[in-house]
Amino acid sequence: MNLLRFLLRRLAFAVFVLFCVLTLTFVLSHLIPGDVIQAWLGKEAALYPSVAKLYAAKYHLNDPVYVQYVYYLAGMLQGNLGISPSRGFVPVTSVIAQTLPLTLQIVLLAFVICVVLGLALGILAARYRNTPVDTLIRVFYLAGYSSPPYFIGIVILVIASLYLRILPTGGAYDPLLVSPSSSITGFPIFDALIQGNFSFVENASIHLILPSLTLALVTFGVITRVARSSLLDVMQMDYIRTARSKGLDEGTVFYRHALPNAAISLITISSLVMTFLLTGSVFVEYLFSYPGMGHYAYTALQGSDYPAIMATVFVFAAIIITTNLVADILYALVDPEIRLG
Amino acid sequence: MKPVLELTDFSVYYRTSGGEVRALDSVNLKVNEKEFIAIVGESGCGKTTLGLAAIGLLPPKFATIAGGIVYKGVDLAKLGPDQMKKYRGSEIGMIFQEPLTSLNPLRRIGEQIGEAIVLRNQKSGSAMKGAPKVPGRKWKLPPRLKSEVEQMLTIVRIPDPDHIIDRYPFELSGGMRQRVMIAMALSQQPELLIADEPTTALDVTTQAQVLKLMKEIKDKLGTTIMLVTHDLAVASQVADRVVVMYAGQVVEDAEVHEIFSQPKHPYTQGLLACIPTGSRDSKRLTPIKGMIPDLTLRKDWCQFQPRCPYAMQLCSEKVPLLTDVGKDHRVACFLYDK
Amino acid sequence: MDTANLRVGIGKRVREAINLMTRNAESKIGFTIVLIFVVTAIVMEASALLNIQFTPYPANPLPNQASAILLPPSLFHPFGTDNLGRDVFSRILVATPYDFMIGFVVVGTAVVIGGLLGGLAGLRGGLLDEFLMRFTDIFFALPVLLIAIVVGAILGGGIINMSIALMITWWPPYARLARGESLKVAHQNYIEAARISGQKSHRILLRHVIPNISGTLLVYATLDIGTVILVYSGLTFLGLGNRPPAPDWGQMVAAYNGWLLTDPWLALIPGLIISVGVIGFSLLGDGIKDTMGIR
Repeated sequence: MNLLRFLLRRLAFAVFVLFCVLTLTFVLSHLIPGDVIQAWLGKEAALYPSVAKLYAAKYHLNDPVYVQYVYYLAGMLQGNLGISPSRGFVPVTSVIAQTLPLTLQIVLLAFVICVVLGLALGILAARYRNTPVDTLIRVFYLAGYSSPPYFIGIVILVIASLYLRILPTGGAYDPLLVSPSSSITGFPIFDALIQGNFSFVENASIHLILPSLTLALVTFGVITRVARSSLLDVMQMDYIRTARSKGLDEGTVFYRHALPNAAISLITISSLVMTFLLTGSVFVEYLFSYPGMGHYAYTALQGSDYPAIMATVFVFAAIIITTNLVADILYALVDPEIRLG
Repeated sequence: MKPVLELTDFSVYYRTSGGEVRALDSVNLKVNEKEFIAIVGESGCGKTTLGLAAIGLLPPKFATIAGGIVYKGVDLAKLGPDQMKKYRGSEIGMIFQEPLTSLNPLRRIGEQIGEAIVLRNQKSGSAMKGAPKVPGRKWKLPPRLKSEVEQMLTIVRIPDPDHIIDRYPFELSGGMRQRVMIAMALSQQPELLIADEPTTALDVTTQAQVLKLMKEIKDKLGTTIMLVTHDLAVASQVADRVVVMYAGQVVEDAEVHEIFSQPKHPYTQGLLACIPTGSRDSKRLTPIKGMIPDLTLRKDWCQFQPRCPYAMQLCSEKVPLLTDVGKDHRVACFLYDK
Repeated sequence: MDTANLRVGIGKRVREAINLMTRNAESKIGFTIVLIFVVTAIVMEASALLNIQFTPYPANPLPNQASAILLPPSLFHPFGTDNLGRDVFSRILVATPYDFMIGFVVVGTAVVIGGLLGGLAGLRGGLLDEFLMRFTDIFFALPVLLIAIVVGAILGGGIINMSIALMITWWPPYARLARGESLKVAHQNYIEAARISGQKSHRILLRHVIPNISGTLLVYATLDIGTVILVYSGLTFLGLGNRPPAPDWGQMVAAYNGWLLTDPWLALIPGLIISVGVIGFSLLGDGIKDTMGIR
């Protein structure tokens, strides 16, 4: 029962933080200098004063701030995030619905690569601690996370396009070669998979590789570092000595007793990794012309599309908060002391 | 009775940043079959090193071994890691001081004991039919394994074993955890069980219970027990024989009655005087003056000499060796040198 | 107190600090890299303030002052020239005071804010602790880059706005760290003694708690400065840095992206400089961590 209460508390807190982010974006959006209507509708608003007036009435832009706030919250809860000047005034929600799955594809793939690579190298580094292998791994991940994501992306772009010529350098797929299936889940690759559109799946997947790889290279260092130090700590623990005293061989001791205990600290770091990946997607999608939400955020920024900026930031923040919550829940489930104590 | 474990001129050196430390210095010791032997001494006297050496758990990068440590005719010092592994657990078992940190916090009691039992069966060649290596996420011990685990828990007198099997280490009390450790170690039916300060972390009542359990094990199962402790009083409750160590060397080795009635070495006498008797007559505690020596400095004279009330000229010139002074009683002191 | 003694104290402390930072090979390399950047930053800032040009070429030359466009790296132009004939090397130098030193500014503020808040929370405990930690948690959940983007979008870019945005969101990890360390220290006997003898909390905080937790905070801060540099370069990449034509490393990478296939050094070199700077701090931080034996 303690567990349930703990989870509920965490959930409530997550909701509260989300609420704070909402309020923050609202407050900030009302600090936009200049004419509010112009800000929200873009510079064309001055050309169509009657339309602007209608719009202002519809979105309550002339009402006192606190009234606007209520409408804002109501709108948010209903999924109405405003309309996007930089995309021809379509509802922001529809753009996000289109672009978010693409970003998630990249981020999830990058997450998997990150964890696999990071864990493998972390284990290697711990096993061969203080040998050249360890140092080499260290140099590798240090270079990785010390470099801006766009730098690594550029390096990879240059290498891939100039020297390798096998991986595409932009876009989500080649429109001239394949076309996507109709949308069921919202995730293009899954939709195509379900409907048997394998050529699309293949093409789109190849386009995923470079952006995901770039993201992963910039972030895996965090996991490697934590995995390594956590493993080294755990190997010093008394229960490892006990395991050895039973006559287990080193491999079993390592994989059955050391690794699971070390893995716990990785759960906490995973939410950090997701944060890095999500914020990094803005740069990577720009570089690789990948039409995901990060790309949308970037063009919104360039085009002063405030509704879009607010919305994308909010969605990103929501995802991050959710990931943190999931990590906390996982941690509570895995650690018996929290689960049962 | 033939010796289960025999140390001949056995030394262990640790490489440290401060120099080379002689943790064990030419130790000569015999542990007989079915004997309950207590290795007694202050911290730093080398008793833990002795225990670890016997089970082959000395840190390989820092420790060098010299001399012979023979278990049932096999010199353990000459074995490679793979060969030593075969003896560990199944022939020589060990339990440790801190039962909470010595048990894997993420695995249930049943799993951890089960693991030992499965190991025993693997080594004896009769793998249990249908037993998975060790149950992982899907928690359910196969019935045969479960009953064996319960059996072990009953041997160590843990009440309600069916319930305990599903518990995690942090849910048990210190005494129970130590019993679990003992059960785990006994699961492989070792010939020799080394216990490194098993009761130090426990309160006095629990301590007595665990010691009693250990004595029972020796009596009923015939396990040879080597108890490492700093507490002479503990030794007196359960041991057949006591070996007193100081600064890496054996200074006295005798049956328990002898040690208490006729302690010969000045250090042993000092230790006995330290024990608070709790009687009305004792006014002050009498500690032994001085401190244990720095083990990085090589000395070719008696290590105890600076603190010894009977020190003679000879004591600062030569190292006293173990000599017989009576029925099965050996001392390393020039007071008894002929 | 004797000022002469104080002076000796500071000089000795500085020497001790430098000693600490250069004890092992790792931190030596890191320290050298950081030192080079810091000196460059100071020199460049001085040159800006004194209106003297220290760079081989002007960073923002007038058209008639510019060199030939798109020259590859050479003796005269170590990093080549860009599409407007500006010497890339000089531009990178000029950007150093902003792009590099922002790390110190942001982390410095974060350490102070976080250290005080966390130290107080750990020391006092109880409701204050709860409240401060909830407060910290809220800020903790805010994604730094995104908030900075929003601030930048609304209030405009530039180093001041970005610094403020970063300072607001950067302190929570320090508060948590400081609280953790402070909790360990708070139960020590000398703190109890101070409390019993009637010392006020803020004095205990300043005199006893802060000096003891500053070690861990410092190590973390050193590693963190590199991260700020990285984040700020990301912001300038997105166009939120100083107004052009003032150069920023990240902004240069974005601007030169178009010439990637023909003149790759333009985009690669500023990115490389950023990486080197951040690596310098990572090495330094790790080196100090190893010497001090902190996790």
